[in-house]
Amino acid sequence: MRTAASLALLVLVACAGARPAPEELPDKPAGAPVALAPTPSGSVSPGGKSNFNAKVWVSWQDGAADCEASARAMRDNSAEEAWQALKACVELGRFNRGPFVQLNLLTNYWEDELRTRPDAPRIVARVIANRGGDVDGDISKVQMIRMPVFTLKAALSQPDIYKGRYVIIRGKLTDVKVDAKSATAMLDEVSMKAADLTRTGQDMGIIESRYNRLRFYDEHHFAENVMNPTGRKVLGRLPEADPFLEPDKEFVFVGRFDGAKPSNDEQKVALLNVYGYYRPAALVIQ
Amino acid sequence: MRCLLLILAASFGLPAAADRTDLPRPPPRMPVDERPTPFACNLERLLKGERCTFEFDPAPGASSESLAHENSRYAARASRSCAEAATRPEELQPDAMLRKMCEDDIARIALDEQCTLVGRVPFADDDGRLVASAGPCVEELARALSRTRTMAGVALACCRCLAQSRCGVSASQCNRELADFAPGEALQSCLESSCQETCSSLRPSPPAASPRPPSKARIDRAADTRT
Repeated sequence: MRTAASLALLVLVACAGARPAPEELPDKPAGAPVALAPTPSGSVSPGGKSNFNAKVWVSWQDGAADCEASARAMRDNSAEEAWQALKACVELGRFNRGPFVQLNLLTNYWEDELRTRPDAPRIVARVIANRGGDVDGDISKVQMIRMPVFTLKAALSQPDIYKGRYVIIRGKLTDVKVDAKSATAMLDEVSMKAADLTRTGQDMGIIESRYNRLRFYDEHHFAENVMNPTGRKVLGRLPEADPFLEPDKEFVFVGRFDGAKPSNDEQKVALLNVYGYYRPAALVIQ
Repeated sequence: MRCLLLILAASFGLPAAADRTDLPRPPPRMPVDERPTPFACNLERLLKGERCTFEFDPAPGASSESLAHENSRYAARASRSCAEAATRPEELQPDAMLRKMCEDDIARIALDEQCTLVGRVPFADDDGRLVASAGPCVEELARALSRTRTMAGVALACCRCLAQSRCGVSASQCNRELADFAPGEALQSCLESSCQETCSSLRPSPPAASPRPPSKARIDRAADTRT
C-alpha cells in the first residue's frame, strides 16, 4: 500500500514538473513567475541546447516593467536566456498598458548588455520608437552608460571616426532603387523640436459700446512637438524593397554607418546598412 | 636628487596613467560595406538633374595629357543629348542649326580645364560612375543643353518667322538673343515690325500703368469696424 502511494506521488510530481510544448501558449503558472524555475537540468535540453521559449514566457507577463524585472531575475541562472527574455519583452510583449517604453530600466540594469551585445542597438531603437521617436533625446540617455550608438549629425561631421558604428535616425523614405542583390532607399532625416503654437478658440465673444461692436476669439498658447527636416540625407541599404516602408511616413531606423559620399547638391550623404526600422508612437515620452 | 626622483617617477607613471582610464572602451568597429549604390552619379543622371552621390573616389596622380584628352572625350558624350534638346516639342526631328550650335558648345566646354581635370584623375570609372571633381563640368554641360531646349521651345519658331520676314539678324544670333531674353537693337526693331503673333511671348511687355490711389470713400469703408 505504501509503495503504491509513493508511486502515485512520484507520478504526480513528474506531471507537475513537465514543461510545455515549445509553440503552445499555456496558461500562466500559479504564483506569477519571476523567472523560469531552476530545474536540475536547468532549461537546457539533453543536447545542450536551450529550450527556453521566449514567446511563451512573455505571454505570462502582465506589464512591461514586470516583464523586465522577471527577465532580470533570470540572469543568475542564464545570462543568455535573461537577454532573450528582455528582447521578448521589447519585441514580442503585447501588454495591456502599452509597449515597453522604460528606457531607464534598460540603462539602469542592463548596462553591460547594452554596451556589448550586437543586437542591443535594435532593442534600443525599438524602445525609442515606442517612446515616440525622440532620437536625439533618447540617444543621449543611452550614451550616458557609453552604449555605442550615435546620431547622424555626429557621424556626418566626422565620418572616419564613426565608420562601422551604430547610428539611429528618425527619417522618412523619399526614393528607392532596387538592384539584383538589394534595395537602396534615400531617407531624409527629421528631428523633433518643441515649438510654441497658438490656437484660436471656436467661441466668439462680443464687446459692445455705444459706438462700436467688437467681436473677439480666445487665443490658446501651447507647446507642441513639431517635426523639422534636418536637411541631412541617408542612403540606406536594405536586403530587399519592403512595401511596408511607405514613402513620406516616418520611421526610426537603426543601422551601421558605412561612411559618407558627396552629392551633386553639395552636401554629404550618409551610407547606412539598415538593420531595422520601427514606426514611432504618436505620443512622446520624456 | 629629489627632483631627479620626481622626474623619474613621472616618466614611469605617465604612460601607465594614459593606458588606464575608468571609461569602458567601445567595442571594435564593424567592417563596412563601401560598394557603390544605385544612386551613384553618372553622366546621364547628372544631365537630367537627378539627385545622386559621387561614389568614384580615385587618388589624384601626376598630370597626364592622354588622361586629359580621354576626360575631354568622355565629357563630350553629353552632345548625344543635343538631338533631343534641339527638337521642338511639337516636332519629331531636331533643328539642324540648333543641334550644331549645341554640339559646338559642348565640344568647347569639354576642352575646358574643368572637364579635362588637368589629367590628374579619371572623369569616370569603368561603370560610368563620375568623380566628384567632374561636377562643375557636368553642370556647365547641362546648362548648354538647357539653353538649347529653351531655344527650341521658345525662340525657334519666332526666329524662323523673322527670317521669312527678311529680318537682317542671323538665325543663330536671333536664337541666342531670344533664349537669353535680351534682344539687341536690330532684333528689337524686327520684333516690333513683324511676326507679332508668333513672337508675342518674347516681346518686352509695355510698362505697367501705376495703380490709381484708392478713392476717399473706399478708405472710409476700410476703417469702419462696425458690424
